[in-house]
Amino acid sequence: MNRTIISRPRPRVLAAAAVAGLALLPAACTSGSQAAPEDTAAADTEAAALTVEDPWAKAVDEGMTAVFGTLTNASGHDVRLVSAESEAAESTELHVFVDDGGTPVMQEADGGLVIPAGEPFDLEPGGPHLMLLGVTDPLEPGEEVTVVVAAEDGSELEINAPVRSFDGANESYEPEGAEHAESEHGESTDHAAHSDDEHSGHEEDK
Amino acid sequence: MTGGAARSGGTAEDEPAGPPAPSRRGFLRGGATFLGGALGGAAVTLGGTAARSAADTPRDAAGTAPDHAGRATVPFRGPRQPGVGTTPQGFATLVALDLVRGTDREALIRLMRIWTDDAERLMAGRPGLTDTEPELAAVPARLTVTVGYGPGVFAAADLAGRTPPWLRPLPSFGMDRLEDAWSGGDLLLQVCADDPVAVSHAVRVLVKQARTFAVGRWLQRGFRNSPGTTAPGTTWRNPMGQVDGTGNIDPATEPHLVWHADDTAGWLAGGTSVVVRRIAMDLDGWDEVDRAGRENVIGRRLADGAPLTGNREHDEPDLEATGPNGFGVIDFAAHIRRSRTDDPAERFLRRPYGYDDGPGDTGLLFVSYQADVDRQFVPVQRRLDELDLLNEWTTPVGSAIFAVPPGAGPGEYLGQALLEG
Ligand code: HEM
Ligand SMILES: [Cu+2]
Repeated sequence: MNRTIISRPRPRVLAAAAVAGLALLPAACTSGSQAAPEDTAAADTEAAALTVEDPWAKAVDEGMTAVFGTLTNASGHDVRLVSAESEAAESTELHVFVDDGGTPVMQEADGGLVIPAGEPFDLEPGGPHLMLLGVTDPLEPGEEVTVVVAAEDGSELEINAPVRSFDGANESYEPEGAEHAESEHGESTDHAAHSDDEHSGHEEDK
Repeated sequence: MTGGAARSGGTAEDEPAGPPAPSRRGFLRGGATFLGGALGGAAVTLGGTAARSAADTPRDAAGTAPDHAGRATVPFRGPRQPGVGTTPQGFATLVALDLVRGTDREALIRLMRIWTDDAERLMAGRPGLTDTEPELAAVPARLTVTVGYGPGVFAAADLAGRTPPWLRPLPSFGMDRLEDAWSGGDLLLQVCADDPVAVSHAVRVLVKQARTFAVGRWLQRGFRNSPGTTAPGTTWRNPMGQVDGTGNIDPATEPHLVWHADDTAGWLAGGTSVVVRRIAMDLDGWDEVDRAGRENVIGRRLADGAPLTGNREHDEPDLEATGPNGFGVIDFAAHIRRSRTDDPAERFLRRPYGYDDGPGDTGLLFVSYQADVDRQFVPVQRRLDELDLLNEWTTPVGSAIFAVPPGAGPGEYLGQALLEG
């Protein structure tokens, strides 16, 4: 698994808020597993709450794609997302766009994604997004893909994103160290293998 | 025998909508609350970005915001689809699509989920889920999206056994000059609004999202009067200058003529059917007809739509009345005589639009809704085909027919009762 290591004061826990299209899984899944522990009491007691609105994923036959939506953090303090995982992809990364000599390029978010308290945080084409790498089964328009994002305390948020045809979000992905499998950020071989692809993979856009 | 005339100013089916849910971005960001309420008389509510600024918008003495026509919304959710009993909006686009090979029941379910979601958002004045032009969604203007299924949907879904018996091409009529380019189709989108920008944007979003499932077959645009340009209750005039819609049924008072009943119809409960006929008008030929001749063709006066036997538009025509020489005052081949029968079941809701695609290409986008095409529509169309003075100047060039599934209730998608039932 490709995972960004972050060091930052402990911990931010996401409350298990009942929100449409979203289920919050409590702490203890530090490895990013999607299995939800039975006991949610610990998370329930926390004040923090993260919700996602209007999530969606770009349809793709194989290769790379991305998940978007608007996150809202009602906890009163910043929440740092450190990783993401989906059964639909070999690996899932938190991505941002950076300026690469005048060209915006996307890369894995250095230190994760900080969701500020109280204001909506857009995951959108051309901005931060959840990147699915190594999709093997087509994500077809009208179905849903599930992505679980984890905060730095290990608490998790399940995002069920409807899949839609979309022509945009074709930015190329040139991860650092793509040339060698063992980069300093630990990109996996799959990751590197897809580095020449666009979000939408090789197939005709959906 | 005609039912109460449907007034174009507002029928009972224009229920007020609930407040729109927050939009993807704008509502959240602005933290704004919904401000719209039912507009006096219009029985619609306000949505879209405009609703956010409603408090700041100047109002006239009656408290009406100048952009109220743009902010009005029609509810999407309900037992019946919108856009049928809805008072006709000013603009319509009808799009027929053909399913691409491989679109099976599972794929149709996915498409219906997508259309349900985007139709609900757009009708509330919110952007589609992946809207690339979200600002264009801000003026819903009573936008409605109505979805219909041609016979191809039932075949593709492996549900041919559930095809309503009347869902097949209409019988061919002697006056028909049908062109493939305007006929048939597996799926229909009827998109109507009081603003053409809203229609155009909704059509683009819905057709674009359908592209892995279906390809366009034909697209027809129609118009009536814009909101605020005629007094409420005014019947529109078609491109021949005739007051058109006086003798229409009112689906609110005679719902059985349009809607399948809840108990007997199975998946079609709350559904209906739509016939779309593109009828070319020979306006140059019509120019040669004087006013008296024109009035005789229909059996109504041009000035106000009153029957030739009456004084006011909604006076009941007297088909027995004879003139000095013993002939009927309303010609024996007049359109209103021929389009009526003695059978009160042979009536339906007409919801036509004019079209004008350039000189020589003007006509009526005839759209009718009825519970049963064979029982209600076909006998009337047959009578008109046999004899109708109007036929000399009108020619059907397109014909399509669709089953209109019931509306989507909360949490449901369009067509669910058929595709999962
Ligand atoms: C270009 C084609 C057509 C034109 C210009 C036209 C025009 C009119 C006009 C001016 C009226 C009188 C006002 C009113 O009651 O709405 C009328 C009535 C009517 N028309 Fe048509 N019409 C056309 C085609 C059709 C077709 C194809 C049908 C059905 C097959 C139809 C069925 C009716 C019916 C049922 C009435 C009401 C009769 C009554 O009960 O008074 N019309 N039409
Ligand atoms: Cu990316």
